[in-house]
Amino acid sequence: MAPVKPSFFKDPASTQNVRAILRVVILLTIAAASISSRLFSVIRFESIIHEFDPWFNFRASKYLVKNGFFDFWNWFDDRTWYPLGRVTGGTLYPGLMVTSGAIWHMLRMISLPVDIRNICVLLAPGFSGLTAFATYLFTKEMKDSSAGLLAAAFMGIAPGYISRSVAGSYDNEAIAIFLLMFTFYLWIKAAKLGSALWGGLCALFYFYMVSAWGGYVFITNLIPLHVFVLILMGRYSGRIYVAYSSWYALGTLASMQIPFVGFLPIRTSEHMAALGIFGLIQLVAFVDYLRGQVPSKQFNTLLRALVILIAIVAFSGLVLLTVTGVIAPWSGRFYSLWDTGYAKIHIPIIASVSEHQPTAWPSFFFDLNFLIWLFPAGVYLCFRQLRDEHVFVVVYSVMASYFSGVMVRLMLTLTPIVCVAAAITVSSILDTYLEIDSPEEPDPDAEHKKPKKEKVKEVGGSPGGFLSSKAPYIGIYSITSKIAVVAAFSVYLVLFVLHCTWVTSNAYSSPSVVLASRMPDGSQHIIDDFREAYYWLRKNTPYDAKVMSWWDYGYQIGGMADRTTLVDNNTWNNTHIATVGKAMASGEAVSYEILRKHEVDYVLVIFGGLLGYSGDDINKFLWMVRIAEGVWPDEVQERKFFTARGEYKVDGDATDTMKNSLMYKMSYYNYQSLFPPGQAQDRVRGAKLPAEGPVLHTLDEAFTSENWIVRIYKVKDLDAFGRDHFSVTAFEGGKKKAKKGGLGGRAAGKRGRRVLRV
Amino acid sequence: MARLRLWSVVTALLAGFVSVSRGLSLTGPRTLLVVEEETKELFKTLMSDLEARGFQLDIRSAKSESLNLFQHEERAYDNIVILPSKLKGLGPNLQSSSFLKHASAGGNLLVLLPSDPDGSVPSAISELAGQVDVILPPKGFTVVSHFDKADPVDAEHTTLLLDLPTFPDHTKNYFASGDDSSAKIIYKGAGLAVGNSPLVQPILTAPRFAYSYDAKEASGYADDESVFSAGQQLTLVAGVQTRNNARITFVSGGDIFADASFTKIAKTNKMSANRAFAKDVTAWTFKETGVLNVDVVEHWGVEFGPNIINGNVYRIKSDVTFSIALSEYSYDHFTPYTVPENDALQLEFTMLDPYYRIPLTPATTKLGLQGTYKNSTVYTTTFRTPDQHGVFTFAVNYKRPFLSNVHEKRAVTVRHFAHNEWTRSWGISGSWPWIGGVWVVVAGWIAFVGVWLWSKPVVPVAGGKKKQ
Repeated sequence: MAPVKPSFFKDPASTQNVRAILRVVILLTIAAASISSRLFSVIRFESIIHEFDPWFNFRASKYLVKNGFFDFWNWFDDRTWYPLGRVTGGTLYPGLMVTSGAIWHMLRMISLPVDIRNICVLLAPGFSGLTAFATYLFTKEMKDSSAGLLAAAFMGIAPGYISRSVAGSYDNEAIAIFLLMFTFYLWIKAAKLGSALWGGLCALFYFYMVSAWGGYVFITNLIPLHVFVLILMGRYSGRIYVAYSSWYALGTLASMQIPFVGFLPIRTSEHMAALGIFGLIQLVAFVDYLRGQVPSKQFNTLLRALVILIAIVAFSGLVLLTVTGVIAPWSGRFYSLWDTGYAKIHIPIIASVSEHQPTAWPSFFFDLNFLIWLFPAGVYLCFRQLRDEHVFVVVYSVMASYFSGVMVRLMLTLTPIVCVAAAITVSSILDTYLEIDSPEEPDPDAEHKKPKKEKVKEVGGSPGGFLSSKAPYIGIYSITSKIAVVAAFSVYLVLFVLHCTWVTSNAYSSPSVVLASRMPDGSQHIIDDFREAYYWLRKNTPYDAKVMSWWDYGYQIGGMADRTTLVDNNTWNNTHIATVGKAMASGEAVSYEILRKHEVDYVLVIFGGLLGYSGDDINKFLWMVRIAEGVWPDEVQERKFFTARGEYKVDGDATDTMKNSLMYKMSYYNYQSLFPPGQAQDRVRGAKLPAEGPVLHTLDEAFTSENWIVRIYKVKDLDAFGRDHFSVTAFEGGKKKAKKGGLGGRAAGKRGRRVLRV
Repeated sequence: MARLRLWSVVTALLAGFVSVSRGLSLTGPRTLLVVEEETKELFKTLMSDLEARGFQLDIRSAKSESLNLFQHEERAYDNIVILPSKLKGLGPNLQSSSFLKHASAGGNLLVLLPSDPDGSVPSAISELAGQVDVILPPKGFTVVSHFDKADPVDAEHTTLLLDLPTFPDHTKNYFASGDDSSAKIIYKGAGLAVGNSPLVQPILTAPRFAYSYDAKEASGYADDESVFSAGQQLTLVAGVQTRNNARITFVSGGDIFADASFTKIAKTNKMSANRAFAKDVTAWTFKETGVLNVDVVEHWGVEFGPNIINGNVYRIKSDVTFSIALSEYSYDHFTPYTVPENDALQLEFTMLDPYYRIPLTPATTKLGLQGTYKNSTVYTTTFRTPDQHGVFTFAVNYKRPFLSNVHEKRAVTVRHFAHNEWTRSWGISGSWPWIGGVWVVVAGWIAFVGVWLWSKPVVPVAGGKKKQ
């Protein structure tokens, strides 16, 4: 903020063009900054898809550009959830893939054939620039364009958003946050202008949002809540009516075109608020109309009673429909939003996902830095003015703050509003403290100051607002305090940028497919076990081989190894996942039956014991046990995996159930051979393993990656001679002994055999 | 010189051609005969019969140094015959594990156990038997029947006259192909017992009143302690067919195939059935009979006809035709295979569990396959896919005693209805009121707009606007 000549600064008319150009330049710079700050991972590693879900989205995008839109729409994926398959076209949010597919086609049209992978990798950074722009527009509606620019800058680099949008993080959130902010902007615009056109546009972007992310439910509930609050505040107006009705009618019909959503908007509790408010606003509009016609006071009371009565009847009708099951009750994921302990008890599969855990306090500061303490101030500033759109910010802030406290991943929805509120705060502070002119000393007859005061006040408050906003605005007298505050905030802003860069570079730019570590000399060492193993699968197994693994790795196996999986990160079938959990948690005899039934060819486990990679399957094992126990409480019991003292152990003290479980055996099979006898050590759990390693009967070790992170086992075929695998191992292992024993027939004893052939 | 060489090439070619054209085992002709010098003479006819059927016999002693069942990890022999001997062990090259490896690689094995109660069973053989659920009696046992004795003078009643094996009518009999079906088999041996493994089938069982007991220790009487097995539970010849269709046959009482048994029976004054039975058993063991071949498996959607054959994707609730052509090998040629009377060839349409299990019937119409595969029977069925999408498997799992396993699986995807395959809204009569309602509203709205636009506004009275 270079000091500008007061005269130059004060006349808005003369500087309009310069300001417009400046705004464009600043916005472009912000977009460039937000894109480039997301490229750490591409520079450090390579252009690679990250983590788990993005691998599915990437695979779906490849399918889309290969087979066209209609095949994608009707895609039945027979290579996941074997043998159930997945109606993928009907159970995904296609917005992301269609967006990148459209970009791919567009680039081809202008003779720029770009690999779909690169489009997928760079989609999220690209859209982050648009998000910054949408935030600018949204904040501009709240305050002014300078606040908008600040909000755009915050949004561009806030780690809370970067965490989901670095290059390679090709997930639904990559475009959804842009759509969220833009839909809100359009809603504010529609509500301000009372325009059906803006309402229709809002519905259009709402549709795009529905097609892109399951988080659209947030919009579906937030806009009605906004309207509801406005009605309660007695601020009902024709503008609200037009905006809401056009948004709801068009948006709901449009959203029902997405196969995955289908009839949910009229059948589930999550969508009932929007429907209810739609009914309510019709009633209120009707009453409003009648009141205009009949100005009797008693009649007004009667009408009010009528509205309340109808509302109560409608609500009880809703409750009745929910109880009878016509409207689906709240889904488990939503219960876990209200009661953080709910999922852990009732739906282990939801609780097992780390991003569904409650947020730890430090992560607010980690993800938002100084924005988090400016956030309440911004909300307070909104309270001071409290126009209709400020109510929206307040409502959004309250809801998002609550939800982000419940689930880590919902930090993402909080970030935009924090950026907006903090931008309003910073902008207000700068507005106040960057005023070059100091007000004159208070004068008993201050009448001649009034025009100037009014002018500044326009920024700060609206006529008819709260009392606090009517307080006379005076200004800052001392130049020292101006410099101090501005300097302090400049330092904060610089620190914020440093913090964001540091967090992005250190915390959010790891692809998690490739691990990086430091050598003793400080050079970087890449641990590439995952890709090594997946590539092995791709090159060494038949195309239709079925690979069983815990569901975390399903998408990666599908994407990188291109092999059929039993379960994956789209956890739609709990029983199937529990089946895999049971196979992992049971002894070999039970597991083998399951493996045979599902025609599993290979089993893949992640084992971090050698390297100290803590996200391995043994650490996730208890979740497998819990999920399996939820379906087969008689056959799998969590208790049996704990020692008598209630410890989860893998060393010599481990329980027999633990030692005999397939997961334990696969993890530690042959592991002892790496160490001198009796010295085997698990570096994740810091446990000394028993000298005698587990014996596998029904599986053969097929592949173990360089650092032993990925271990792949081949399921043995049925024995050609009809023996079970335990006696095969016994025969092959103890052959010499049997030979010494002499005639096998002696085993039957002199008494002859007692088993009859049936 | 050149002439001679050419001639030798021609003869070699001819010999090769002849040996191919002769009836041969499906596994191959290379046959190892493990026999010691002293017993070689006893089985001359068996050997010559085998050679006449095209087997190339490699007669070796178990003690032979150079004997090896595997060369460069490949099977060196297609078939192995182990004739009874006095040896206690078969040497380092013939261990139970190498026999198992041989069978795992698809080779066949015929084991003749000694008829003499004092004869020893090599440990490799008894271990092998133990692994395939065949239980051999300990040394000294012998089968006795006081009702089926061959020689009324023989006080021991250990040489028996047996009928040719019979099977229930849903099992094809490959072991009574001799000219005279009433001929008797001369038998002397210790018998054996088979476990409950479905891979083991008794080929020849003892008559009802026969039993195997320890003749040495319990001479004169047989009580519960000394009887090994009795009646139908006592098996004399057992055939094992492994999952990879290799065959292992145990013949308790190897003399059943010895020259001495290929003779006229005094009691019936007819030739014994032993020679024919030996042919049947060796033919079955070496896969000259009882081998089913799946010539082709085809499936197609009825909607498209056989134009798109063996596609990967079907839709739920659509008609699908499945055909399988089966032929059976009989010594030197394939013949159409007919399923026995009370048996059925079934198709399973499976996803985890069978959704359907449908009998396949011989095709009557000349569809696609029949012209091409003259030597096979085409079994076919048409059914409607269930209302469940997923990866389904057409499975024909036909495993019958003495027939090689038919386990054909073809995984196909059964997909859901595509977005344009549903009945259109106007095709559902129940939707007509709603569609009608929609159009009435549309027409009404247009009419309203028309009336609104075209009706002349009332000229506002001055000051009327201020009311707003």
